Amino acid sequence: MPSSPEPSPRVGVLAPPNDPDADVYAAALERAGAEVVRLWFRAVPERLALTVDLDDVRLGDRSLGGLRGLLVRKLYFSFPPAHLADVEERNGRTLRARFVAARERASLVRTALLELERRGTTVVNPPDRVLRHTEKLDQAMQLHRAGLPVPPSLGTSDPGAVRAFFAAHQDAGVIYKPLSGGGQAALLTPADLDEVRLAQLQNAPVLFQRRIPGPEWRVYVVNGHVVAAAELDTTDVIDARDNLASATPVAVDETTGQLCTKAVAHLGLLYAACDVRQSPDGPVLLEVNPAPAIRFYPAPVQDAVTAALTRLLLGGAA
Amino acid sequence: MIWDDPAPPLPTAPDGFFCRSLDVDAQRRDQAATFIAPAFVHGRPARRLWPVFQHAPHVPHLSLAPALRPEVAAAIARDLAQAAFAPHHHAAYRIDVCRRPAPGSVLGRFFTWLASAGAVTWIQALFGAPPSLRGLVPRQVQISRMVTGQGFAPHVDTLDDGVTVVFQFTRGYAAAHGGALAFVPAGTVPVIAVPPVFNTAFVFRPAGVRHTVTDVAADAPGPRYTITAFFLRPDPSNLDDK
Repeated sequence: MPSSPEPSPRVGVLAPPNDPDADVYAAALERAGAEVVRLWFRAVPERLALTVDLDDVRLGDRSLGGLRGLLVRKLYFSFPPAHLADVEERNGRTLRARFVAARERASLVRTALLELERRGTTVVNPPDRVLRHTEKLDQAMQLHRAGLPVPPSLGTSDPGAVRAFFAAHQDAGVIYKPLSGGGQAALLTPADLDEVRLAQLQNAPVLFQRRIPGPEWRVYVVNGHVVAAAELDTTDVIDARDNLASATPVAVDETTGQLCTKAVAHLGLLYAACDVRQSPDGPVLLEVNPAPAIRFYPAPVQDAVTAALTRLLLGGAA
Repeated sequence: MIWDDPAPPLPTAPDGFFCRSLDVDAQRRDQAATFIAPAFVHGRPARRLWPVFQHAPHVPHLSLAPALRPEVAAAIARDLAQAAFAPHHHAAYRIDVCRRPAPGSVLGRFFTWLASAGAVTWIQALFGAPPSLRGLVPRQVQISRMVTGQGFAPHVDTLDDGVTVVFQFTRGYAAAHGGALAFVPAGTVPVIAVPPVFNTAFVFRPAGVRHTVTDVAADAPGPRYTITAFFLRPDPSNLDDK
């Protein structure tokens, strides 16, 4: 009697429908024979029901329980909300009602993802660790406490602290960026130390860091191994993302490789991209990204990363 | 000892964020400033323009001149001369339209911006963000060309409330060359006639407003070019899809 063919392993990709990086990841998974389910919880709960009970996690009338792996490319829930739309697009006549709705929704979506992981789905990366990415200063502090080189950093709403930090690092310069992400790094200039400008810190505190010179490497780590890296020229730019066109594959030396794998392990991530500045004094970790973009980097980098990630999500070794 | 300071009111700080990349309004202003003449992006006080607009005779309206940065207007005019136009799909509309300008061109970028939330922010800010202009969305952007013999019969674009902006890119027309945007509440006698003057913009409230474009004369020095943007409150049933 002929046996029925084994069904394709099902893997979820959690991302907005128009996310081009998710397209790259999904295409690699499909090439490897996976059935890819694109998930996005934006319609929950107004237009799509999410249900979690002791036996299953269901989106609409479909079970998510059989997912072999789940790649978390973007999260659209958190509390407090990371996006204005998290609150604005909820049902409710008043802002207070929509705020409460957002809180309740975030709780159920987070539980659903955690439960999938408990039920055996390889979640890359677990949602709580992805959400910690919005605490950029805390990440730098964690890595510093683990003995890994990070830029001297300051998060503050105190104009005096900014002036003192600027004076202390005048030789190299100081950059600043949002503490929770979502913005480019910029160079702190003497004009920024103006009283009126610094008073804007009363509206929102800011992350300041010593500027680290040198080319920037983006080092991809999957399941504890460095799988590929690209070098970005940082001449004439503050934020390396302004020079993505310069990205070229680079062979990772042992020191940098160990730095990255240690950092990724310390943060409890299965997959991450480390941004490392190759300063004259050695590599310095700017940031570890738990849900990184991939499409800006050369094809050999994309291929190596997506192949390793696909193996991880399908349950193999990287 | 309490180290927090719970006492109201909050201290007064200058508006905006130290990280400008977080300040969406500032980014949108910068975006508008790449196209629109500085006086209509950073001009103060914008609130004074709203009563001028509202109480204009016959139809709420306002003219902007020059509307765009000169180099932007010149580049768009060049792109319009090269753009692919086709007759409007409604045969009754005697105009040519360009549906997809080249994405990398200045015309393409202006088109994309006019169809974005950033353009809504600009038009609201132009008038000091009055409550009457809340909730607008970019409904339609139309790039149109009229050549000799073409014109537009009297019509009403929409019954929805909002604002229409007609950017003009026609050079060298005299009154006898036609191409005027004419408001005709009844019959054919205009109460307002807006000549096609290069790098001007005519802003008006379109709800139920009957208007026409006079025929382009045989001796006109070239085509009549306009880019028209509709910023309306959502109610798709009211739009006459011209």
